[in-house]
Amino acid sequence: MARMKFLCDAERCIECQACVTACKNEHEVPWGVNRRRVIVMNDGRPGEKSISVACMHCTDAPCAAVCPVDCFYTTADGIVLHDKDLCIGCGYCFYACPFGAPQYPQQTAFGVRGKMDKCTFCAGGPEPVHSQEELTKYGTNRVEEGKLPLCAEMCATKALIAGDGNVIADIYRKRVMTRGGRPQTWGWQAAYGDDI
Amino acid sequence: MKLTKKKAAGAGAAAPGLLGKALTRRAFLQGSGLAVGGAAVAGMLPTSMMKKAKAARRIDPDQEIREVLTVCGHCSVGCSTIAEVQNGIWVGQEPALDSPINLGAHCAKGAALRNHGHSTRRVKYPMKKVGGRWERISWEQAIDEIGDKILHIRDESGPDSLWFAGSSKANNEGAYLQRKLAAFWGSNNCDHQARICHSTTVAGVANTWGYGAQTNSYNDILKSKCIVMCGSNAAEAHPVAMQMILRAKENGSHMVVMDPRFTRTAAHADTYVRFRSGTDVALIFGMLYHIFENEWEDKEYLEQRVFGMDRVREEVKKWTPDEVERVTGASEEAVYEVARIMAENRPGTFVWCMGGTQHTIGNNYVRAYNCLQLALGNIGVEGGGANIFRGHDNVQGATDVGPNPDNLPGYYPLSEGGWQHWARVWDVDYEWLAERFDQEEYDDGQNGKIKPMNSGGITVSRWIDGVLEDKENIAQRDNIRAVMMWGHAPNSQTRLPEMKEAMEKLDLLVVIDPYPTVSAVLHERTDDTYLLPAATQFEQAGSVTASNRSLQWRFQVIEPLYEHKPDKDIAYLFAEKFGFADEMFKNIEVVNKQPTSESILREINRGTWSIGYTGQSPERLKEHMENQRTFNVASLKAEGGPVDGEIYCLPWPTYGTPEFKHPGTHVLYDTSKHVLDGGGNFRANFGTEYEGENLLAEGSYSKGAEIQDGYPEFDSELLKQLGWWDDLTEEEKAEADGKSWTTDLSGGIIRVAMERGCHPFGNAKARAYVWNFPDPIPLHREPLYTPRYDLVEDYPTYEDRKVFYRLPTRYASVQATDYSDDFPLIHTSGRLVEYEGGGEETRSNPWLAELKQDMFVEINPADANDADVRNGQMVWLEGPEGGRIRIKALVTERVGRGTVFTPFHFGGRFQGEDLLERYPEGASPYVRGESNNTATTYGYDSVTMMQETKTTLCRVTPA
Amino acid sequence: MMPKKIALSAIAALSLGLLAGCGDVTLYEPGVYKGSGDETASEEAAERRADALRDRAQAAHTDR
Repeated sequence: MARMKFLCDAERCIECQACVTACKNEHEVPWGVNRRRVIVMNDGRPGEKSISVACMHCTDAPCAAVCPVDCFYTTADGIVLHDKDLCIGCGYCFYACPFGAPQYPQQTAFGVRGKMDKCTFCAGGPEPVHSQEELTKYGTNRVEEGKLPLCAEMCATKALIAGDGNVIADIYRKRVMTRGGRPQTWGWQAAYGDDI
Repeated sequence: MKLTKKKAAGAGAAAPGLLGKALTRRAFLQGSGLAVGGAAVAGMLPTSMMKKAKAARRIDPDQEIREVLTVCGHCSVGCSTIAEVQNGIWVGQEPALDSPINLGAHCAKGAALRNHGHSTRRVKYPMKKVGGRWERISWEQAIDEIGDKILHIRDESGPDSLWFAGSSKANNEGAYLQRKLAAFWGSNNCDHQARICHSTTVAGVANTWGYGAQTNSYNDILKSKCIVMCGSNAAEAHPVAMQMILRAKENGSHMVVMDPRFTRTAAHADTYVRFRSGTDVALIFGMLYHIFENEWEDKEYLEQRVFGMDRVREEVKKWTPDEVERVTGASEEAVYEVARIMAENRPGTFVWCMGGTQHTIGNNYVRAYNCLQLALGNIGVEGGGANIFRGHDNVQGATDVGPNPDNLPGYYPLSEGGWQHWARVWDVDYEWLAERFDQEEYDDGQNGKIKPMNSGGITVSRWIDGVLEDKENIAQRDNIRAVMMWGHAPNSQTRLPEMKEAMEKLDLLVVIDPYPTVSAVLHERTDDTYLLPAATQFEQAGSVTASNRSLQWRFQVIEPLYEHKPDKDIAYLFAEKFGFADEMFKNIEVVNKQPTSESILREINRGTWSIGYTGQSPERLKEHMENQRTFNVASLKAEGGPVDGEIYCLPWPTYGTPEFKHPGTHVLYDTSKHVLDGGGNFRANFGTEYEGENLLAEGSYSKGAEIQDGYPEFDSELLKQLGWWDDLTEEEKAEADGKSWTTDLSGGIIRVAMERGCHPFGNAKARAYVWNFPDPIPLHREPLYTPRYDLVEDYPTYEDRKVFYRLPTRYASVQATDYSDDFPLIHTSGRLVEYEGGGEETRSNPWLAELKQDMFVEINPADANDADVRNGQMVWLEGPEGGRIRIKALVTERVGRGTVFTPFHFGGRFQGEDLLERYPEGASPYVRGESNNTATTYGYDSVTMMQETKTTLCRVTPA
Repeated sequence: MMPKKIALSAIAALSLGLLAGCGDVTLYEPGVYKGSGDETASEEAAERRADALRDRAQAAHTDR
């Protein structure tokens, strides 16, 4: 079974924010809520690197592990989604998430925290496919149309890629081979040590 | 265009989208009033915006979704995108994966395009200011009132008292009509963004080797072994170009960035060289020093194809490594290293943008770059070239056929010959046209007299001086009294405090734009000020020329929102009011006062032989768009399919008639290909000899040419001399006799020359020595406002000029004062990825505006400490001419010590004051900020009047 | 004494009854999704779209 994954190639990411606005465009995410962000390290200095970060759709998702109302579920192809009707907006998942993915819209002028919102891999949520409810609460469902997340499909340099983990690993491996050097994707060294 | 139809995806009823109120199933949540979607936006956005957004998604499940292929309007890369339209509403945006230019990719702006189909922050209907308040009026009333006022001013002060900015954001058809409108009105006082964008490039490269355009393409960079970017921050200004650049890098190409600022582009370079802003000539000649020293130059190429390099070599000898370091700050090692990389990795491409053009000696920078590439034999080869990344989506097209003050469409000169040519194309009497102009003669600046019909008009960089300068000093009848800003942001021009004064002095100010722009709010005018709502690019169809010279057809996505009108319709309404619509639209199809884009392009096709805008019929362009998938990404050539062998969207020159089927030219001046296959050589545009030296190519010619040596440009006489005259048909002979290849409306001369393998514009050498420019050999001259006043003695600027584009122009008298003590920091400027140009359109797009909410200045930690400024603090940035802006400090090593950087996209605040209340209600952008050009200064290029925005001085103090 | 006995047994009976009535709560499984069903989360749904998504990834992400 395919597992859906994102991969951001830091050698190609140019901090252009297309992924961020593509997401806003596709799902009409309101001002102040960012399902995806571009993170920059060493801004303005040699060694400057950036990657685009959203929910990484973890296999053993920490958000789901800590959720007090168990509103998370994972699709058979590995997309982590949640039920906003159950969510109580407690913010525990934000605490648990290694990527800072969960977002909480401010609901009132007094700053009460709203229900958690996050990247759906453009796969909607627990409502009938393409229904008004799904669109309202979770956004569009591209995956059911055979399309991938718009952020990745529109990436300026094809740095952000998304889809079946095996396919994107292949695409990425070919690039690494072309570069003739070691893979420089953010996190690779951290995961496997510097001497790979 | 209807590409495909598909079933609507939505299954439910009206879907409100995430901005809408939540649907909740559980009672306690309903009771609490919590919404699932965010409401944080509620405090910032008006309810009308929210309603609009709600209605934006798949509104009716039974309605089909139409997919329209269109082209992004935010830069010159030319990214295609697919708009999904339902019930006339732009409901979705999909990547155009088939486009060989962007392969579906976008930057922040392109990925947020759909908002243009919904934005309410526009000028919604014609408005005028009455007693300081905006009032809605009808189009009829607006055209009537404006027309009457302009005609009245014309009676009093002549046709040159009206000045207007056309637009690089108009499509070719709109831009062409803007130029034609000025011509029929009887004035050359029109201009557009190219003046302050790449005018020095266009003049510099055209005078060096023929055409004023990017020689290769973004795609061709895939074949480069070395990419040197100087004054180009593509990662922010042309992000999708980085796709090709990074792919080339992955394939082993060396990527070098030379820039005063460590840009986001530099972050990806193999080699980065920081140097002082305003010293490019010294830097480039420093590289040439090593190239000549080590004999890395391409000697055969120089002998065969380049004139005057020996003269340049003499100047280069002066740029020893020590002197280069003294002037530029770049070390010998760094300069040598880049020279070596370029020498060892050929073909290499050289990329420049505004960093290389916006200077008082921008034309020298450009020609220094040219000399470098010529010395290495990198021009006219795949993977090489001068890859000039242009700015706006159609700035190349508007330069080619649009509202330029110094030439006619196709770069035909303002001389009688140029006008005669276009009078024939337009099918109007030349004498009648000439009588439309002021008949007096004025100082031509070269001890002679000239008629306004033949003298270059006032440029967009200087229109404020046309208003403010003493009338006696202007080489036309009167001051500028009426101004139309037709698709042009004023805050991209320097000296805003003086612009405010100029705007307030005008008798009439008309703003024609989808958005109010800073033109609506900078001044404190109370009356005689109009806003006319122009349609966006997505509300009209037409051709648009990308930086690589491809003419993509942009299909119309939606009908104009509110009362917006396409540029071509507005041109018609004015022509009608001025009383010359019948002449101006004689051969253009007009339906309901709306000229059709196709018929306008056909007229362009009939006249622009000089640059090969003749083969790109609307039918051919549409066919290319429909077959995007058949084009090879690296060569841009169709492989199979209905347009087999042609280059994507027929990059100009596409010579001859559409029926001649020239494939378009991917790489200019490429002798390895036959001219019928897009090959070429350098242009013979400057005679056959200079001071006894041969200017024609020697032993170099395009593949298959029957003349295997240099030759002059073709005309009927040359055809006769060669014995090729009888290759023409009888009809062609009748038209072509006595004509040259640029004025023969039959296209016969071009056809015959090319069928014999020859280039119609001749085969000459490129000119490293441009004798008709103020500095024939490009020289370094210190900026007018230089931080290195000690260098002024060695590298002074020019003498002041009495008449230059009709205006007195100061150089030495400005440089006479040393400001560097009171204003110790270099102030340079540039783009941000989220915004474009003056930024009104993009700052009115909430998806973009959210990402950059504050105007700021980048300042080095050392300079910040010297100024007692902390990161994030508000500061005053003040220029030596008195303009000051209150902005946030961003303390960063991105800029070196002694240099600060500001982005130029902000507007809506002026010297600490918020101008919000001057916008028409509901039409202000989401983000407002100080315009950096409030603090910029005087200074204009010695050939083109390009403004100096890249090197001036300032001081920064805590606010 | 009787009333106390009766009261105790009544409490016992009531407690049993309450416990019996709360069987669902005692069977609470932490970590198991409690929300509404999603028809597109199933194996079949994922299988159905897998090929299209693979093709799409190739089309969208490879350097043509």
